[in-house]
Amino acid sequence: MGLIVALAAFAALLVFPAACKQVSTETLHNNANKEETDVKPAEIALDATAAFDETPRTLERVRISSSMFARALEYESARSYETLWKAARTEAWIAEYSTDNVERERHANRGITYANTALKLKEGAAEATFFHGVLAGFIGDLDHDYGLDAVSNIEADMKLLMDSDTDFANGGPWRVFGVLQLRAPGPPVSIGSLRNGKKNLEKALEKAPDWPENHLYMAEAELMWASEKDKPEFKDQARERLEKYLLGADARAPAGYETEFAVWQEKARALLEANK
Amino acid sequence: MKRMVAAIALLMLALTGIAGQDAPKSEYGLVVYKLGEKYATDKQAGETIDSLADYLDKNIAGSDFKRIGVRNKPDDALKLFQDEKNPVAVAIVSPGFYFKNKTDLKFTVLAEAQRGGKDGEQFTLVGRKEMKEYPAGKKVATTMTADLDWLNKAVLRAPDGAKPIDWVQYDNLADAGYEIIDEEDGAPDFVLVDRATLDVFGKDPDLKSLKSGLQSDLLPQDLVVEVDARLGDKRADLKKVLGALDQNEAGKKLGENLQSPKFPAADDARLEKVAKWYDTK
Repeated sequence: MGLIVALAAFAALLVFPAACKQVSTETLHNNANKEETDVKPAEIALDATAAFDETPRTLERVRISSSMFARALEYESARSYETLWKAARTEAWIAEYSTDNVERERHANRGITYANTALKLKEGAAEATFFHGVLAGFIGDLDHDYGLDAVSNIEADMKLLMDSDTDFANGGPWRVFGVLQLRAPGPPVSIGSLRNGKKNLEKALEKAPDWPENHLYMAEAELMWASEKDKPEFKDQARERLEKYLLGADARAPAGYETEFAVWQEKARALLEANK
Repeated sequence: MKRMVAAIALLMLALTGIAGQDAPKSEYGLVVYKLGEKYATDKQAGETIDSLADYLDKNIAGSDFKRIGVRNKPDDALKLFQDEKNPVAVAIVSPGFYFKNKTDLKFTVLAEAQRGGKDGEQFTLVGRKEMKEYPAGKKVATTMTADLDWLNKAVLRAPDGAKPIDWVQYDNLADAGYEIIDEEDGAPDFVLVDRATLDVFGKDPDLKSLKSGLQSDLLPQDLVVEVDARLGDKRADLKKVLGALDQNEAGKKLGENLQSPKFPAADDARLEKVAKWYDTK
């Protein structure tokens, strides 16, 4: 799996937030008395995973995956760590790739509940920690009142993974934290720093040198670097990078990531347009 | 008798109608100007300032506060104060703006912010070497170059005959500090940081290697000012409400968002001290 990271658009709104809300720490309610009768929750969870894993992904199929996870997770017997983090991943995907903000918010909130429940079963586990941070980011992005707390959550989750050098999602922890640092205000309000963001994106590229999403955000960092430090050579470098890994004739989607790649390409074009 | 009942009914109706109307409210224009805060704009901060206006409306009977604008550059802020069609009654302004315009714009200080709950603001020079003297001719990073008078007349005043500091604008002071550490070409010699940022520097694994040097006097923070006595009989109420912002839940939340838990009365001695510096040619 790879994906994720559109978050941090909210980061600029951390100064003077309209309100300070906390990202939910809720877990799934105890449903021990729910009888299984002819339902086989573990099988439904497997089908939900299969629906997500079928590529190229489509929004319709990932929505089905989400519905199946929701149904399976009504039953205590299906609530294994494995099922819970995969359910959180499905929700994160919809929160990222749906174009309907109401739907995105609903799935981000559902996903954080799954991630919280997974972390209750396995504290500090990599997959759930990663998606917990990512989902907190989406919640902050969709409702800026959660922005400050979302940043704290992302920082705590990604640092936990980075400090233990735990890679996930092709340099995911460094990519997620790096993008946040690129876009957040600097101290004392928040943790923004172009230098630190760029360093973390370099680390993400060390972990997954060919992953297009890492190049997309590194190009963003280079364009910022070129502008803020008056070093036009970094602009050229960013353009070459985008051309090679995302937009050029030889740029290819990683196998199974055609849907996501098309979205990254759109972002790459928008980045170039904004930095003509 | 019938005629009398009808007359009473008519009178009752008229009285009910009057009682049902809201008491008239007076409108007060509200402006916020925060020097060096990139995100102090209507787009980014408008909603929060609207929530301040709503809070004041709820707590000051007969008032209707309206946001006129949020700005981060003195010239842009000045335009708002000069717009006669939208008179400003009250504003939260950075202290340099107050000292520069207090006479022309007829400002009266009502209260002072306490960022992070701290009284006053003190700036510190940090760099690779500890610099205890005025850094004559050196390149100093700051977020506040839009108001050089504030920097030169209040924050770090040059001794007689000293070459002035070369102030350089940075929106992110951490990155300015990293440039010094990384010995980048064109890096500043020092970074000027406020107390909250100095705390962040002290906790950062890289930035904490920088040395603290010369400090400014304790200076005023952002000031709540009344313009041309336009608050009238609401002046005392406003001071009371802002001074007690941290006394209820809604006020506490608002204080968090405004980064100042309350706005107590300003320190007059501190204001007078800085005013004298501004008056010195």
